[in-house]
Amino acid sequence: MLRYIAKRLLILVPVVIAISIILFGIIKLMPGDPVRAMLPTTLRGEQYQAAYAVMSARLGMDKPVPVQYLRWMHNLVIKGDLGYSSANNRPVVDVIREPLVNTIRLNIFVNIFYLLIALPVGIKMATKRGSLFDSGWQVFSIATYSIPSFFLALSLIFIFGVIMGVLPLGGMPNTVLFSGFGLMFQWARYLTLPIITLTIIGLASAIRYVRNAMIDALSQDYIRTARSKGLSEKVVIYSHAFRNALIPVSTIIVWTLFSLLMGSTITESVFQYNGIGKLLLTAVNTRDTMLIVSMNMIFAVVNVSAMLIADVIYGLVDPRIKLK
Amino acid sequence: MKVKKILALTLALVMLSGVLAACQTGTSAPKDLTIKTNTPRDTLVVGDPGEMNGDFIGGFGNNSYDRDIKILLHGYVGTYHIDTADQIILNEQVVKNVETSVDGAGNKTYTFTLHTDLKWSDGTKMTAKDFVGSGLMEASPQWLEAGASGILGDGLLGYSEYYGGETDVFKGFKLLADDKFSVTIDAEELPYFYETGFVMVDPIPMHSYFPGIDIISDDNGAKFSADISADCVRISETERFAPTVTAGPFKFVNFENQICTLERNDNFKGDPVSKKKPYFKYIIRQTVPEETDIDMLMAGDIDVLATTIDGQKIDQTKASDNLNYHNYLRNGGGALNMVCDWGPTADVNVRWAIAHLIDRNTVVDQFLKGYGGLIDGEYGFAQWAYIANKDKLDSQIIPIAMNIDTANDYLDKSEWKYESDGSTPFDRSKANSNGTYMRHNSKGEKLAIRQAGGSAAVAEPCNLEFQKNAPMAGMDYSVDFVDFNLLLDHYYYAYELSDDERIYSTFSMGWGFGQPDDKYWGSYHSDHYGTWVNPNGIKDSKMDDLIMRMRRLDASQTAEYAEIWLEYILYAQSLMPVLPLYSNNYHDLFNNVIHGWNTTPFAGWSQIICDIEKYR
Repeated sequence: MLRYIAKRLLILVPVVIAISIILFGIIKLMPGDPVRAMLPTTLRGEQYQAAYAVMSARLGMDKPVPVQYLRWMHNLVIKGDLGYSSANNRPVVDVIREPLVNTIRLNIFVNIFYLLIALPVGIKMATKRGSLFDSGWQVFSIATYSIPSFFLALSLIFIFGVIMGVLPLGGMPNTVLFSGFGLMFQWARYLTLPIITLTIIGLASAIRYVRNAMIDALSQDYIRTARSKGLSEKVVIYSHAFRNALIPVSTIIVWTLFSLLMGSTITESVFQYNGIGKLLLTAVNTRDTMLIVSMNMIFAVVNVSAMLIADVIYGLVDPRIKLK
Repeated sequence: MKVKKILALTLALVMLSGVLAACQTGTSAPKDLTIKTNTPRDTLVVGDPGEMNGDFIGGFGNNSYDRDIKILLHGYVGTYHIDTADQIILNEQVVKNVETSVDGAGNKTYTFTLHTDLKWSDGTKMTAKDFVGSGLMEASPQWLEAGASGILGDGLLGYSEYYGGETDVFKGFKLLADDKFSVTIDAEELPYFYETGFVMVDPIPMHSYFPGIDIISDDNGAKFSADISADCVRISETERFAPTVTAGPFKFVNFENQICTLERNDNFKGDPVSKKKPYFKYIIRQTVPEETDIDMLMAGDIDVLATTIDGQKIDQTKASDNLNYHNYLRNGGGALNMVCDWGPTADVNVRWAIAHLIDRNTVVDQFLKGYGGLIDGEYGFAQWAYIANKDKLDSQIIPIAMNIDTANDYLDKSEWKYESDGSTPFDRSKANSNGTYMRHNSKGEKLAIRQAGGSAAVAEPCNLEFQKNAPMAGMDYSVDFVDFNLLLDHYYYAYELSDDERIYSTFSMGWGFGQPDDKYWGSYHSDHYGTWVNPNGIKDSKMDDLIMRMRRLDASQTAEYAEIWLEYILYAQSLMPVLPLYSNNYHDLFNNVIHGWNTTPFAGWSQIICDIEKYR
């Protein structure tokens, strides 16, 4: 197992380097000069030239692209420095910190809720196959899978914010005007609609995934054997079927953990929630090249890491799989 | 079967309610939803879809939303103040007395005596040292090295030497006493109509920015007593995002998740004009979703939605009994900027033809839903020079209207007057909307214009108009919906491109006027030809002459200035580097509990904050 992990980690290094080169190259191919975007338009001749020279040198933009890449990688690996955001005129790390915390805060609740719902509902759908319960959730799944997230978000805003007036229409709580329980209450109010939106969106595929895994497990010979031994249906389902169904489900659990770091561009934007997804959209709109590269690098590393861990967990929970 | 029907019906109802919800946003709002405010009485909550960067001291960044915060924190306390009518006035709340003198070399010195009761937000006394320190810091190479930039000091005696790092003494500033300092304008810059612009100095908190560093001043000028490099870096890395000491009407409290909270500065002396102090204890400026901002206003979650141009939101406000609005024509607007030194638009006749091939009313109707006005030249209706010249200008400026015949007349005077063979004269009667009959020059090249359009909301109506009208004049006109930054690259920095790399002849841009409205830096002087300052590529001796005549007047010669200004506006129109497309009718939308909201084309909400109040 350890050899397998070490081997996979070694393979990851060139993969990540290749991703970084591609990302950096694509961004550098984009037209436009980020240094210009950073300078006040009120500057005149000599002031502009001087400010441009200083900022170019500071960002390393006065060097050839390969040198810029090496410098960026060096700073990233040695100092954990992701570069400098041109639109925000400050280090990328400082720009990312606050939205990342917000996204994790949001996704923790989303993931808890959707796993708490998806697992029991998926199991019950499989055991009550063809029932009203199963059909109803299948319709729900198809409907919510088809509805664009922005539409769902706006509908919830309209119902709970505009018509009922019980929840805020968007934004985030003011941490100065509120404190203690008051602030917690405000957080709950502001997080409710984004959580409902993302939970519903996530549920659509998760419940079908769990249902199918359970149906597959329930059709196995060992289930028939367990039933023929006279075991109760509860024991058959939860001790035999569900444990085996967990093997494919473990994949979505791993992805769920890693998705804590991934923002939802559309939902966060509609709710004006200051998360990592909305930040990425803003970065693209403002052509904040280093911020785009850095965020995509983070997403890429998260993805390949999640793949590795999912594979390892597969090997751990299913003895039939041999990791070499 | 019955269950399936119920499920299908339920799903259909869910979908229908969603569709209705989406449609409702664009129609008049139910009035019973708008009767409330959820914000505290001592707090003004301003919503705006624009995102702040969080640069809250001068010298960093271009973000216009940060600017409001900067004004509230650091504004109102300079030597001069720009009032709501765009006039530069002496700030008598700060300056007790100002005297001017001219030396033998022609350098003009302003000597300011300050009031002695001025204080920073932390209670520290504000002195002349804070004003001199401001000039020394902003023009210093150390400030530049820290990533900041500014123009304060430009035009003052010894600026170039100090800015370039040749000396650490700035001749243009002198510290004369605790309450007295002087600023000297270089004789080479005089006379200058906007000369007070040189001596508009805002203070910096020396005790906070540069603790332990003093200012040494003698007859040769002023300098810092020690190296300020480390402090400049510290300011750029910390103070910039969370100013600790301010002098304006508010203090910084917090900026988090696009919510900026400010608290009243009780040491602020008062507005330079009204002498009033702010009513509000707290100001909260928060970024709100564009899709639901009007709903947030109606729900009472925010008090104000400033500078709205969306016709639907304005209509919703007008239909509401519980919301109010204040509107004014923007001091500028949207425009079609044309390249004057490259491609077909290098010919003024082509530029004028383009001006006659678009019905600007359509743009106003489609983009602004009627909430806008038309202007035929580069001026604003609220500008004092326009008001002084209104009758003359209105009678002499050429009204620009869509007219295909006039466009053809102009093009017949250009090189684009042939058919595709380059010799047969173009026959306007054969032109058609399909674009199968186009104008060519004698080389057989087709008359083709490409416009770089940024915002689709503006570029799309332009595109529709030109697609319809341009072929009728034999012009192949197309609009590319490009990224705004790319548009800026091709507009401002086209001089860096080779002729083969240049693509666009026209650009959708915004335009406006600020104080000081020095046309020399306003893009048409040939001194700036081939730079980003003159992106239209105008090189015209008469234009140069008019610009220099305006700026070389003494500040007191307002009548002479207004006369030359009129000549300038008319001549600029004749060259047609810019076709004004519209002037926005800005609407500030606010809850009825807000009073005293009198923004103007020159003064946004942050500049009239002392006038605004809130009643339950």
